[in-house]
Amino acid sequence: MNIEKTLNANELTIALTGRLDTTTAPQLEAELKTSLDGVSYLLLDFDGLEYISSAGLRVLLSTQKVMNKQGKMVIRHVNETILEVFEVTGFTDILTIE
Amino acid sequence: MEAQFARSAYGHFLIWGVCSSLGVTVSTLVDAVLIGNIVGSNGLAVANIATPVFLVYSLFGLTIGVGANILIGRRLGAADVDEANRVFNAQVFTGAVIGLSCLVFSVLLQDEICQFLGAKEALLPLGKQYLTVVFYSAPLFVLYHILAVSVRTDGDPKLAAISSATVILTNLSLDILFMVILGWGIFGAAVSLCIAEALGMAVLLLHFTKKYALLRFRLSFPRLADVRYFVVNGFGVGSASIFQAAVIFVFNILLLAHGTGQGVMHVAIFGVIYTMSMIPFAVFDGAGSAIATVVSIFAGEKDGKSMLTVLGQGIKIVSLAGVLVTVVFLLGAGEIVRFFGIAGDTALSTATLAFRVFTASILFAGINTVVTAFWQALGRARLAGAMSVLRNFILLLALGFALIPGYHIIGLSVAFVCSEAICLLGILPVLLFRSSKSYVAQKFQFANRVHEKYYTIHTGSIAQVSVDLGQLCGDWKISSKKAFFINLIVEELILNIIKFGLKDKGKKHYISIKLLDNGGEYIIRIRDNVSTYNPFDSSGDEIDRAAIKIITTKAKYYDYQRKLIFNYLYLII
Repeated sequence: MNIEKTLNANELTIALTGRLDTTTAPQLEAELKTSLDGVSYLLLDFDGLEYISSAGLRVLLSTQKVMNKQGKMVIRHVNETILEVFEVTGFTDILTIE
Repeated sequence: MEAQFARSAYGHFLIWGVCSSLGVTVSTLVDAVLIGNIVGSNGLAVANIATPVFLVYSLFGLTIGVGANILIGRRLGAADVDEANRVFNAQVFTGAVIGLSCLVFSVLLQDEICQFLGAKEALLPLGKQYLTVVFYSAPLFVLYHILAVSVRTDGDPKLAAISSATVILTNLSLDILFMVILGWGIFGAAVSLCIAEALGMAVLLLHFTKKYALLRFRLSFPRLADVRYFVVNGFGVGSASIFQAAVIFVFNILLLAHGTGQGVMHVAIFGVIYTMSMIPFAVFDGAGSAIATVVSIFAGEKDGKSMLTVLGQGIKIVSLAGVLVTVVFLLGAGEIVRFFGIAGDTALSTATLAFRVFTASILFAGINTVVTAFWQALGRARLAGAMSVLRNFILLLALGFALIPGYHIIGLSVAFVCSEAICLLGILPVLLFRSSKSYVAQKFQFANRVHEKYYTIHTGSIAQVSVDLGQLCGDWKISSKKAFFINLIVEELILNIIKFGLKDKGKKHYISIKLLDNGGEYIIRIRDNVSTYNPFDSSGDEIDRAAIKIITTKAKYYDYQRKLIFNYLYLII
């Protein structure tokens, strides 16, 4: 998985490419841990994301909890299959998907 | 890893199967000693006279049980639990009808049967006391054999062994209570045996209350084709003991007729040989019944490689056991025959020589038993039946008739050795190596595309599974959406097993991922060797539950089954 970060004042954009699974989720988790300080708007761009598993959902949920306290988190460009995963698991009610 | 899967399953069934068989053998010996010592020689004579009755119960019970459970094992292997249950209940119904028929027939004709079996004059009252109880318990004996095989097939050989132990311990304890303390004599011996059998049955019934038992009781009437299948496929194993009884009967007559004054001594030596042979044969029977159970389930899975691995493992084990027992018997022959009370120089030297010659048959018998059981499980009923009839009856009788008149007890030993050796050296190589491998390859092959790969279970293997599945989905041109969910489901299940299923930390854990193309829909079969664990029953946090929800929503069908010593997950996408 490739993680591309763009920080613009207190707005952080993270573009993910590839697979967010058991192997790669810890990488994203570590990246977010060091990047969320002072961020009030987090944009996750899933344009290049092909796959997500529960390990990825776990990272998204914990990040959402952090961002609920310090601002807003938005997920964009979610493909049809990943959106189906969000729908089945009820994540569409928790996350802001645009 | 694949071979390890098959070998570990066989090893588990082998240990408990051998424990059951050895336990029954030891108990029979101890029971005979107790009756002989407490009731006296007439009591022992009655117990011996009753042997054919038990052999008939075993013939019916094992023929139906073994035959039906080959089919049950195959249906379970193919994950067709409904059909497995239909066959299971059909065999129980068949066994109950046969048991009740035995009861009615034997109670109506008890005087005639007692006399036919040899309980005449002084022995008739004792014989009737013993056999009446046994006759009334006929359904119990027939059904016990059937249920014991089914419990093993349904993955619980340990409980079947515990049931055997219950029968043995209860029988011996009640023998002492009824015969010694209460003074009930031979009637007490019969009551003790039947109560023990009933308790053993109660232990077997516990299996069907277990959460993950696949076989359940319900009313199901057998079709004529079912009964025919049971008999054809079970006869090879079920008939072995009755053939042996017939051979003992004929050989005793031959030894007495041609003994030139030493016939009685020769019969006594034959008694020693037969009694001692029960020990290795119990091991071989345990190995054979384990082969039948494990191979029939692998046959249902169309897992030809594992079937042949189990056969190879079985042959190795019985060969090793055969060599060990042969060496021990050869070295200790003199002491063994002396232990049984054979005395006098001539008798001792004849007995020792006859016993030593006989031990050579043990080298071959194990392989013959295991291969017959393998053929039976494969569905090669005619071959298994022919082998059993040849080994245990026709060839043995022919050789006995040829050798005993001239060479007496030594001729008898040579007859056993030649019968086993001819079957092994003359027939097996041709049938086994020429046809079994190609038969398995032809008959147990999938018509559609199938992929199976084994992995050790750890988080690192998930990445490898993903890479392999990605490659496979590409090769099979599976749509990207379907490929996504196949990958997701497999990953989530492995992760769930790693998180919640690995309880026995010291053990090496393996997982097999199998994907079958079933004409556009895909069947995923995940098999692992962790202790009993069903991911669909797991709790965990909200993400774990969400992962299971994805699986149960996206799969058209999902099921967990515990078979052999493995967890199986079946999903259709």
